[in-house]
Amino acid sequence: MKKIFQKTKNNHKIKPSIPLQDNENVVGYTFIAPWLIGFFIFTVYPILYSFYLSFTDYNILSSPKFIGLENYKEMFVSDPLYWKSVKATFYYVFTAVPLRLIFALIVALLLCRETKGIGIYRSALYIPSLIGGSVAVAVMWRRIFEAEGILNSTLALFGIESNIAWLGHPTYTIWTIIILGAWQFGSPMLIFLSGLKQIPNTYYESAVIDGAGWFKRFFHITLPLLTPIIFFNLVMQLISGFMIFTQGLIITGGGPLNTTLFYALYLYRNAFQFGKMGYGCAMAWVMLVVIGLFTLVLFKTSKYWVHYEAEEG
Amino acid sequence: MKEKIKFSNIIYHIIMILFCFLMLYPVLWMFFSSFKPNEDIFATAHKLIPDKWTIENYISGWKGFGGVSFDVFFKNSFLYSGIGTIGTVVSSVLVAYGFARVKFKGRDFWFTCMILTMMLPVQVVMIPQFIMFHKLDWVNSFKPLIVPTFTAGPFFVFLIMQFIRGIPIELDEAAKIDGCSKYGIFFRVILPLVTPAIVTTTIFSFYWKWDDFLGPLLYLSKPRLYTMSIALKVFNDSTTTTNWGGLLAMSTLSIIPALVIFFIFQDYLVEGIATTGIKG
Amino acid sequence: MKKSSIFGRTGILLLVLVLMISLIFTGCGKESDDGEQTDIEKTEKEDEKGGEVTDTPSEEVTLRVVWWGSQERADITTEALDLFTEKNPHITFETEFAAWDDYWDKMATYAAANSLPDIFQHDYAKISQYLENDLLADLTPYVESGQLDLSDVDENAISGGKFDGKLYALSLGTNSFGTLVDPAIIEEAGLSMPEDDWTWEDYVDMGKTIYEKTGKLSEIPLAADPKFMVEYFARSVGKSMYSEDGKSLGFDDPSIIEDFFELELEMIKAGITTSPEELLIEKPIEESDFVLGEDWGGPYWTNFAVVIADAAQRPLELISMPLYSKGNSPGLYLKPSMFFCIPETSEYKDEAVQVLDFWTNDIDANKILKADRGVPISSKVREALADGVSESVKMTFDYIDELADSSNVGPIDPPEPPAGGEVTALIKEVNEEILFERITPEEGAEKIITRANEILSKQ
Repeated sequence: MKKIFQKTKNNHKIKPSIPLQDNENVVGYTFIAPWLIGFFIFTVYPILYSFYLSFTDYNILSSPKFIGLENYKEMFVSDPLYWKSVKATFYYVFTAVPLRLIFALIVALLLCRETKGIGIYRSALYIPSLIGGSVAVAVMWRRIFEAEGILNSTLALFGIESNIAWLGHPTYTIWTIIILGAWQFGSPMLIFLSGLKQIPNTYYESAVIDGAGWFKRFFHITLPLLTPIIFFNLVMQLISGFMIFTQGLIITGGGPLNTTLFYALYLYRNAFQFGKMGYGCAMAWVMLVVIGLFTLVLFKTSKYWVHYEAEEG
Repeated sequence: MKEKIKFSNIIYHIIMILFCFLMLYPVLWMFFSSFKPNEDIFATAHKLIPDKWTIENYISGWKGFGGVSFDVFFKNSFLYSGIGTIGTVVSSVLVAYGFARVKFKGRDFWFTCMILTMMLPVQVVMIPQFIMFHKLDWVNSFKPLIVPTFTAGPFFVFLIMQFIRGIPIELDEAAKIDGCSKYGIFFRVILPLVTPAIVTTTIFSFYWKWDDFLGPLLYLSKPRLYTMSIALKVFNDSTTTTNWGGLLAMSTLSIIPALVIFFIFQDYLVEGIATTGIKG
Repeated sequence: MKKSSIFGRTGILLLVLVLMISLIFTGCGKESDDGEQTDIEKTEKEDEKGGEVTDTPSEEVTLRVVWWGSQERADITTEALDLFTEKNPHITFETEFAAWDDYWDKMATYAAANSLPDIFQHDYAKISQYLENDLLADLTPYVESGQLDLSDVDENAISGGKFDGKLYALSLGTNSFGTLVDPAIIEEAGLSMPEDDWTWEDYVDMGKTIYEKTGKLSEIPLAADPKFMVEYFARSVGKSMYSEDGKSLGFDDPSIIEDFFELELEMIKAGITTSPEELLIEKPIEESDFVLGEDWGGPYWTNFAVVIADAAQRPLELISMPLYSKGNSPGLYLKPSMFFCIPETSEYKDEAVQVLDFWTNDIDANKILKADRGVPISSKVREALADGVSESVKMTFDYIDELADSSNVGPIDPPEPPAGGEVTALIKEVNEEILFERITPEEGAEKIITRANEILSKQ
């Protein structure tokens, strides 16, 4: 509360006669108060602490020893696995994220119509995402991609003979994880769907009157009006793509040949399995900067392609 | 004309059914396998429908372990996901409105902070957070999991914000002329219009908490406090044989609550802005 | 530039606020300690009270006991602890358990928060970090005072838990390596069971004959845990895995590693194993080639051999490990499996020791525990259990008994240095590169020696 009053005093532009509930600063801080309080209590301290730890040698059990930039040096100069994990992560992000978004958008468009049974389809297609990262997924995924698995027997139906064990093959294994990522398209799909529902019907009605075909309607109405949602999904999927962890842990364990040793997985191993918490924190901060840069670029370019109804925001 | 519509409808349904089957195959496999006798699960894995149906897996799985059965795990999951979702939805909507429609000083700075907090891997803040909750003596209760949900989730704030920003500003202005304050605009104009976003938030928030593993693992150590996600993980220990039937049966059951939530709320999802009477 | 000044000012404000709020918050937390319990907590406390016998003279104590392992282990451990409470009504338990990987995350956070449980399971590979930081209580005084009775226990089984002459960890059982084979397949191929002094060359030759005659596959020795093979070969030539100070490997001859890699490659090239792709997929035990009867055997930890034998449901035999032909020192050791430790911070050390004593010596308790954590260390318990246990458990009892007199068993090396986990991961990585023939065994061996020494010297 103190903060709000300070802010108000400092703001000379605001006339003293404006009542409290119209003062944008008071109103603004009141609304964001829940987050702000939580941010200070639950987030700021852990984050600052992890920043400090990134300059230390810390195995959790003994107290941290300050070693300056050693962790960062090791990361960039002398740890070959680090670069392998960077490579695997970028590979995943630049394939799985676009695939998942396109897939999600197509399914959302398919589901965005009024017809009998639509609720059932919608629920059915959301189910894959409800299984999440459970062990059941690992079991099923092996069923599909093993040498005598479902994929190979399906391929055989089309006359393609293959006995590749997809999950253990250095080239293909990462693709099984990418496909898993695309398969769990539920959350971006749902967000697209809500976005599509929000586009007023009147826009389409008048377009139909003007004689616009499906393609024209899609590219001139749907897509532009959906850009805030596309933007949101893109940012979120990018962030979560960079953080891919569970699938690598439970399905492939990082292998084979470390081709699925994703950044977050390697970070986790360092921090908890190798007792190098300081190194893990340093890795996390580099990750933060990299994701931050990508997000910044997206935000900066967003004004050229994201269409907002209200420009006040 | 009518004939054509009907025909395209049939095509649509055929495509959708095939597509759903393809997408759901792994899930169906899990569902049907949970009714197979334990020794058949892998031996007849290529078959979807069981030769012999049994509910033995559900009985053996439900018993749980360490003297705690699955009704306790279900109850715990409901407690965490239920209260947590209420907290997330209420706080996130408030914060989102603040960021989206109020021009206060320092807004961009705080917004950047919020987005940044999403980018730090959990594994890194986990230790300091645990030490903090330990000092508060909150470990082994639901407090470390539930209290933070009342401080809004950045993902949801951003999500709702994007929806609010899609609402024409003219509506706000019209309400302002009618004498509404910012608070009034929030309750009378914005809130009813962002229903799809709120519903989406509810569904996600519920499910993500239902599925959350790391949080309960660290803070709920006693088997009596375990949630479904931990309980399921305990079934699968790689150093010993697993009760696969029980695991698949309980995994199947664990999807149901989230699915029910989805099924109930999706009706509201459909009634978006398109049906709330806003025209042009 | 204006931005940076805003950041600076806000930054300071931010810090002040954090401090203020955290101060207020800690205050609140302490005050409302018991006021705001969730329903579940409350019912639990009531439950505990209900279960206690009210007129016990001793102070009522609740011990926290934590271990890793399966659901089944949880069931039997809880049952054994209940038996203890029956006999000592003033001591009750709060138990926790987790899977292996999650377990260490959890313990690390507990250690960081100074709240290690009163009794917790430990492992030889992880214990050095806990020792270095003085987190574990010395149990020697309790042994001397008789509170912890180890009179029926072989010195061999105790020594693993002794560091610098003090006992810090008590093992609940003993483990070692053996070759688990399917006698039916060996017979089908027209071969006889291997002699005790068979070598890895014999192992590969046998594999080739078996494949020719029966089409059954061979297992690549410890594809999942190649580090143990390196250790085994190093010990066989009288060296150790790590040097005494843990700052480097205990050997500098790359041919030790090279020989192991050559062995693997020979098997792959002869086509008598599954493809490397298949090999690297982690499968549930029920689906492993051995359990399904697709291969004739391979080296396993003895407690794991029990699980495999139970799953396979056909007669299997545990025989000696093949020898490294270039060496003549003992390669194997008896590993104290499933250590239990009491942390220095525990308030109830006496009671915790009482539980350890109960686990070690009480026959009823061990009947419940079913040697799930390895062959019991007390000879009396072993004798009492011998008739009651399953065939597969009996097989490991006999094997460990025989092994104790074998010339292939020597004293255990000091616990792994803290960077051991990283070295293990490195060996695993290089092993994969060899299996996929990305590098030659010679290059692989060089790489391991250089990188491992680099990692070890840094810690």
